[in-house]
This record gives sequence, structure tokens and C-alpha cells, in this order.
Amino acid sequence: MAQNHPVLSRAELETAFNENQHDIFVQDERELVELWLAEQKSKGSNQQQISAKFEQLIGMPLEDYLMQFGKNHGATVVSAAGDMKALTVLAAEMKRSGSILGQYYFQVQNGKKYIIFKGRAGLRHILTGTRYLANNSKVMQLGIGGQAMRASARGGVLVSVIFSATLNTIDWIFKEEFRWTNWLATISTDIVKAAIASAAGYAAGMVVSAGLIAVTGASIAVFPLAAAIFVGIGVGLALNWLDNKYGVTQAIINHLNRIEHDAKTDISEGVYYVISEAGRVVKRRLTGAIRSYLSSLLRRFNGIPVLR
Amino acid sequence: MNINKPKALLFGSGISAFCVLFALGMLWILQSDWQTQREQLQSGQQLIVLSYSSGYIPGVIAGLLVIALLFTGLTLLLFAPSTLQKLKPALIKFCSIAVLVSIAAIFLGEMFFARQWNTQAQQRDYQPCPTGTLLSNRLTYTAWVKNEALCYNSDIRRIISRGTAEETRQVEQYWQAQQKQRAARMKLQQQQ
Repeated sequence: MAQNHPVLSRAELETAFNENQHDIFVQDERELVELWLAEQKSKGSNQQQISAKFEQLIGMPLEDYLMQFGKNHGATVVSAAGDMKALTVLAAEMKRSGSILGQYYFQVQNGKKYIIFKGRAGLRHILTGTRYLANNSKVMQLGIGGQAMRASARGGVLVSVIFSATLNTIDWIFKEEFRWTNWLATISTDIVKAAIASAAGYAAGMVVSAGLIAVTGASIAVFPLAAAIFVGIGVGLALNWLDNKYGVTQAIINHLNRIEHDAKTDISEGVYYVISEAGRVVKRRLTGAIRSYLSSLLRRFNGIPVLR
Repeated sequence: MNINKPKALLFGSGISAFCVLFALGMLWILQSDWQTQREQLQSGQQLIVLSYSSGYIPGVIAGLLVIALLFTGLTLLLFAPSTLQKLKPALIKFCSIAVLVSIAAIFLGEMFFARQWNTQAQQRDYQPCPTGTLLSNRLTYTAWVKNEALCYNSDIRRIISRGTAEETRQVEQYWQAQQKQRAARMKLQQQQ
């Protein structure tokens, strides 16, 4: 679609969608410290530099902090009432350096403090390189980009196919009137309708997202998704309406019935031809055999002419 | 990020126009569908089919119009004086809420209109065919009958496969023919 567009190239669209994929991080104090440490390492800082920076920020040597944290954590005394210094200071520092995008929030759940923030794309790669974080961190991807919408569109088609196949198969098994022709035609048209509606919804979402970027310089997550829903449902309903109005599915059922009837007729005509031809051959052979037998009998009696 | 105004204008006007045209198309389908439904209800036929999928359409139309409004507003604001730029966050906020309401309206609308059609059918002495009898493979269609026996009639089950108005007319013709045959048989029996 983008290829045909005179203004926006496919590469531009893909870049715009990739820029609008966001990772939401939910981390407790220890996880945030681990993330900060891993990020510092990824930036090329050595252990001494990291320790110095940490001490400068928190006012406590990193080794002491980790040891104390380990003890506290082991004794489960890390509670909401506890010191939130590391959480707040490191969050502020990460926001300054551009690792945390937008606002960040603190939340207390089951006596444990969490920080929730939207992080830049590179943080996810840092997580995977840190064993503790990779196992413990909660990262949710909120996407309005192509991948998320493609997945939704694929899911929509899959759900339609499962529903259609299940309902029609039940009818085929339990209803005498519902023949294989009904089953095949209904499922085929349902799949085609679902695929077209999902593709239309996906395209609408992408275009609206690109449109928002063009008009405002940023995409707003709710609108591309909403556009995909509205257009997807709308196109699905329109296709259904057209199917009912012009009887597409019924025409396919009738066509399949006709093919079946023709095939049966051809087979029965073929069988009739084979039987009748075989009968004719047998009759001819039998007549010939009887004639030759009679002729041989007559030949024994002289004076009686031979039958021809 | 710098905004390329010609590109923004093209996108804004194009998306707004598409949404309005698509909404008009959906409105046309909606009125056509409701016309068919009304005709079915007023026909007095022994069997009618009600389709509930058109109940989704009002929400879809509302949503498309909100997106059209958003893009029209944002495009116009690109060329508006800086004093009017403060309206942009308010417009986005209003449209965000309106779009969420429209999504909810899609599903609530279907429930509301389905109830309306069902009530009208009941007022005209129709009853829905039991689940699994007629049109069981069509989730948004329900066959309504004046006589429940029709739901189990194999000839009618053969006729009703898609739930179109044409099929209900065929059922009515079949029913009339059956009635005539019965009347003729009774007359013959009385003469004998």
C-alpha cells in the first residue's frame, strides 16, 4: 500500500512504526539497581567508574548497598515503609540520561515497591543479557506498530476460521439437509470475508498511524487500533451484506451441487455405456456362436443349404 | 519533529474523506438492512429471519466520524494561528474518549437493537426457533416462527440455509401450498 503512495515510502512507514513500539517496565528496587548497573556496563563503564557513580548518587558504596540489600531482601524487610532512595535517585538519573521516557510512577503492592516506566528500546536488550533481570523483570510491550497489528489481524482470521469450521462441521454431522456442498461453500466464503476484513482493518490502522505521524509528528496508540476495529468490522459487515444481497455463497452451493449432479450423471452414463456395449458384444458373440453351431449341424445333412 | 505540511494535508484530508465516505456507505447498508427487517416483521409470514449484525453499525459509524473529526481538526490546526494551537490537546482528548465510547457503542448497540427487534417479533406472535434447529451456523441470525413445528420441518430446513428474505418467501410459498393440499384433502374426505 505504501509503495503506491506518492509521499510516504515503505521504509519511512516501517521506521515510524518501529519508533512507536514502547516497552513498559515494572521493576522492584533490586531490579532497577540491576538494570542501572547493566546499562552502565553496556555504556562501557568499568566496575570502578560504576561504583564511584553509584556512591555519588546514593551516598553509599555499591558493594555495601548490595550486601545490605541482600540481607534485607533475605529477611523480607524490604517494605513500603523502607528506604526508597535508590529507586527515586536512579529513576531520576535514568530519566536524565534518556533511558526512561515520559513520566514514571511508584506503586506499592503486597508490601513491595515497584517503579513503572516507559523505557527506550535498547533497555530490553540489556535485560536479556542479565540473567537475574531476564528471569524476574516484568516488561510489557505496548505496540501500535505493524507487528502488533499484523498479529491482531492474523488472530482475527484464525478466530473466524475456527468458529466457522466448528459450527459448519457440527451442522454437517448432525443435519441431513446440510450437505458437503453447504459446508465447503460456507467455510470458503467465511474465510475469504474474514481475510479481507482483517486485511482492511490492518491497512486502516497502518494508514491512520502514518497519518497521525504526518499530522502531529507522533502516533497516539488508541486511534490506529480503533480505526482497525471500525474498518475491520465495517468491511466484514459490508461483505456479509453483499453476500446476502447477491447470494454469493448460495451460488457456490448451487454450483457445487450442479458439479456433483453432473459427475453422478457422467458416471451413471458411463456405467450404462459400459454395460450396454458389453451386452452388445456378448450378444454378437453369442449370435455368432449359435450361427456357426447351426451351420456346422446343417453341414452334416447334405442337400440343406448353409445358413449365412 | 518537523511537519511536512503538504504531506500532512494529504493524509488529513484523505483519511477524513475516506472515513466520511465509509460511514455513509455503512449508513446506507444500515437503512437497507433495517428496511428488510421491518418488511420481514410486517410481512406476517409464518417464518421470518432477523439479523442482528446491523446493530454493530451505529457504533462503527460514530467511530469513523470521530476519526474524521480528529484528522479534520488536526489538519486545520496546522494552518491555524498559534493562539488556537492550545486546542490540539483538548481535541485529542475529546476524540480519544469519543473513540472509546464508540467502541463500546458497537457492542452495546448490537445488544440494544437485538432486544428491540426481538420485542417487536414477540409482539407479532413470533417465537424464536430453538437453538440448533434453523440457522445454527449463523451466529447473528435467528429464525422466528408462528408455529414451532416449522423449525423441525425437514423441507424448511432444506430451504433455509443462509437466512435471506428470498428463502423466507420460499418457505411461505411452501407453507401456502401445504395448506391448500390439506384443505383439498379435507374437502375430498367430506364429500366421500
